[in-house]
Amino acid sequence: MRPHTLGGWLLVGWLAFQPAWAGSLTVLFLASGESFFHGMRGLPLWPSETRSASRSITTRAGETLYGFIAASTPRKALTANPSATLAGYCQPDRTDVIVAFDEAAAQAVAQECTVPLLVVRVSRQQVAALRVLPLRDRTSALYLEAEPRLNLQLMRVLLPEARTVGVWVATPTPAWLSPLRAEAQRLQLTLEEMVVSDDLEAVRALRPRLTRLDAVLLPPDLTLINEWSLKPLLLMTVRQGVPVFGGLTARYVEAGVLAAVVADEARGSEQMQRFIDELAQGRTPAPAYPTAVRVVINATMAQTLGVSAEALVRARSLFPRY
Amino acid sequence: MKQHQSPRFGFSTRHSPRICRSFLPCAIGCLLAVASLGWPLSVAAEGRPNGDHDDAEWDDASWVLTPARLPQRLDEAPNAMTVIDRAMIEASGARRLEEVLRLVPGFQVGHKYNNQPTAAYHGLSDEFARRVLVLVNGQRIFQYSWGGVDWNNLPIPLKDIERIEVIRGPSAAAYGSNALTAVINLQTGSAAEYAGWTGQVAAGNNQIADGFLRWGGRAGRLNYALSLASTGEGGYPAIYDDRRNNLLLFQGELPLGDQGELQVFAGYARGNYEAQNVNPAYPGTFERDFANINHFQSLQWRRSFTPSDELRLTLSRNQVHHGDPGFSSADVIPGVTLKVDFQFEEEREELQLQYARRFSDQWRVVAGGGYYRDAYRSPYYLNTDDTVVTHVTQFFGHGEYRPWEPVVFNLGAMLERAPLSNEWLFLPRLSAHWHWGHHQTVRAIYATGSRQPSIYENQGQAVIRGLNQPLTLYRVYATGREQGGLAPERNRSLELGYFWQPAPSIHFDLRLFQERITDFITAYNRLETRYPTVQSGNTVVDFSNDAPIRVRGGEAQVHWQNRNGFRLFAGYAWLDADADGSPFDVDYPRSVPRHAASVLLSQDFAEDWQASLAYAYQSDMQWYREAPIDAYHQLSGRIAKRLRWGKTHALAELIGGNLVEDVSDYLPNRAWERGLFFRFSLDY
Repeated sequence: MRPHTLGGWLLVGWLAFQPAWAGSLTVLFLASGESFFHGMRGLPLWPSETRSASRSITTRAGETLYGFIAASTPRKALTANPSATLAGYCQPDRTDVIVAFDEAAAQAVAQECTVPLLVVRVSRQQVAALRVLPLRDRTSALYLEAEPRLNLQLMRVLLPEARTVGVWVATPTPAWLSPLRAEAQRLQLTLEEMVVSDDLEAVRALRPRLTRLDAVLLPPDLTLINEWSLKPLLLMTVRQGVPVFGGLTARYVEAGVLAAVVADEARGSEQMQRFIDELAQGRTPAPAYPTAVRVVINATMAQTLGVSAEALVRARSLFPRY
Repeated sequence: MKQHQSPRFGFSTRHSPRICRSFLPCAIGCLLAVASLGWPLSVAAEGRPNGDHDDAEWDDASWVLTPARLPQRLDEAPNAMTVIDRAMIEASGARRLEEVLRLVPGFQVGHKYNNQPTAAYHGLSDEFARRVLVLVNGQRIFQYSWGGVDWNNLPIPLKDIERIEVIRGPSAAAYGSNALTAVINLQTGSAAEYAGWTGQVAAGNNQIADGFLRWGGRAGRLNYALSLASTGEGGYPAIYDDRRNNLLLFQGELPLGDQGELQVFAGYARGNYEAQNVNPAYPGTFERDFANINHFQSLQWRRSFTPSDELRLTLSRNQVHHGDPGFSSADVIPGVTLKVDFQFEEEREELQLQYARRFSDQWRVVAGGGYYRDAYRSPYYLNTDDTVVTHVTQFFGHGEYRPWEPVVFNLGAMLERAPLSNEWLFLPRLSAHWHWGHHQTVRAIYATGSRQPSIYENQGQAVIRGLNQPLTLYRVYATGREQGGLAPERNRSLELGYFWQPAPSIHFDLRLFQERITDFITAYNRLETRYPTVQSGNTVVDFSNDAPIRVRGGEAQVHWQNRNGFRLFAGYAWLDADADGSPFDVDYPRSVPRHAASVLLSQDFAEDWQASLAYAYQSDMQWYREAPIDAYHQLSGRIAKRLRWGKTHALAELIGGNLVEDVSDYLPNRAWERGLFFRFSLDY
């Protein structure tokens, strides 16, 4: 995934500027797309003395990644011998922590390196697959998506009369389901769990249930909700007037989901820095959802579904920005 | 957010990069454009300055596509609308499409024969629904040659219809001819929605035996669905009119990048019908069997160049073969065997281009053009072996403009030309909506409709030939073409409407209207001295434009559903027609029933049980040139139970029809008796 968003740029820029890392710390920031780093150049918040130039880095499998070194001491960043290969960076005396910004970069590091790895902007489902790889006991992650249960809070604000919420659930039972159930109970919502194994089943499972659902929640599961299945699901729900919530990122809302709680990239750097610090100090924090989140609403869908402006204002202030 | 801002359209996420090993959700506009919705791409919410709602409210399906060819709110559409969704179709217990239309205020449904149903709006109709335009996903389906719709043999099964939008009123500004009184748009789901297997069987009295099978899948990026359906029953008692309709429907969708899609639609329907003679001029019933065949193919390409526009190109083709071989009789003229052969073929090719654009929050437009060519061959109806070809050219445009928040204007027009009438028709429509407070909308609409004369009305010569003698007798001799062509019918309608939504999921709509139909094409008997005729007195049937007919009245419609599984849909129409200036002996007002009402009640119970009642009432009337029928009450009841076995869903239904009394909906000597059938559906 390429963090093309301005939030992503500011995030890394802010991180690169931070002089407060404990001790002498060297972090390799890695992504699979070169364009991720193009936008970094010229940013006034990015002192050149704290980071190296971005460069291409070749993996053992011959893939090209792009990255740069950021160090807590400017001299270290500038004097770090550039390496053309990922293996060259996978030395504990060279790199303290590697931050991978997409799944491709994360996979390459997971397969080649034992350096502590922080995976960001990758879904929990994808991170789980990485963590089972060998040599990967020092891996942490900040998930791409916000915690799914937060969408129920959003739903309750926008739809105070809603009672039954449909959600697709894959097998084996995902870890996010238990907190989702608890949140539903707390909010007096009934979860209609549609147990399915793939996207085709997800589409089929919705049709007979649609008339008795007040809303539908998209699970953070790409095997169920993906480029193929999102279209028919949105068509069916829009036709029936059933609001859809959730999705991994704000792009789902742009595509027609009514609203979602998503990671607030612009405010996520503090949590990332904390994770980097912990990894550098020998600890491995458990992967976590982003703590900084925001609400995204499709105004047109809200209008079509008759959501009042007051409800929209309440929804947007659900997760205050401090 | 502006309170009454209508859904805009916008389509692509061209500027959004792909997420590696994730996916790029296609913009809702791109998605829904495929389903003829075309929503906008927008994430910016605007505050409503004077909002006073404390609770979030949401409405169900409060939008329509058909009136303006743009997605619009129900209370801002430039026509009165009735929307029938999948749940209502199921709750009604209907097996046949025309039965569902009984729910629409102002509609009359009748069956002259079991295999000849018809549906008309505001009367003035015989067994051919010439003045109601039928669309399938926005594309027209009707026989231009005789101007009717073969309701039994539409190449789309009822099970595939997700939504029916009915425009109650003329809408030629958007669709041109045949949208004289109403438009019915049958909307299917997208192929991707039909993934997996779906089956349905039904059996009941009067030889009811239906079957349906659908498979939806994907091949690469192509989503497809294939449906097979067979429906049939025994028809009227003591009438030879059983029917069996079989059809095959293929739907396919192929995304073309992030901004476009190709949609393929192909259907084949075959109706096997029994028929008998009812003309007293020919002794004998002459029972026979025949087949009607209906092919339909359509290719639609959509492309969004920016988030604010969309281009759509549609190519379609429709072929109809009416295979009634008629009969021979040697009992009319001594020594002469006469042959009556009702067969005909018709073929239409249509090309349509449409461009829609949103210029700002205040205004958006859609414009386009179309051309369709009709070829009609019928030795019996046209007295020639030649194929008669006609074509229609159309240009249309529609704009929606909201100068300030509570007001919306719609302005549209169609420019149409057909050689049959040899003139350009300008068919405008103008509407103004004013949102009065947060729950009410008043509207004023001026709309026009038209109907080009059919080939048969303009130049038809229905002849009966002698098989053993060189004899040709004329039953119909249309002189329209000889006289320069019949004028097209026109309907000019004025309407005041009121829409009220006092609470979530409650709509009330009231419509007061007056329609003036000019140049109404009527059949009449005239003296024919040039040729021998079938009818007594040396008369033949001819067609002529008649004096103006005025229809006025009111329609009310309420829709209410709650979260306890209760749903009510009810409609009422009061109609009054007069045609005092007509020189022909036709009782037009009698063809317009004074009162009509319909109610659909549905309730969900515990353990997935559901019960529903569908009631229709119509006051006495007389279908055009037929014997009068009395008022009738029609009541259907349905009990249903949803079942689940793992991931397999099933629905078992027991449905009874005509529970109150036998119903004569077209002729007084033909009545539908009480019926009962069981239906079982499976989704696997």
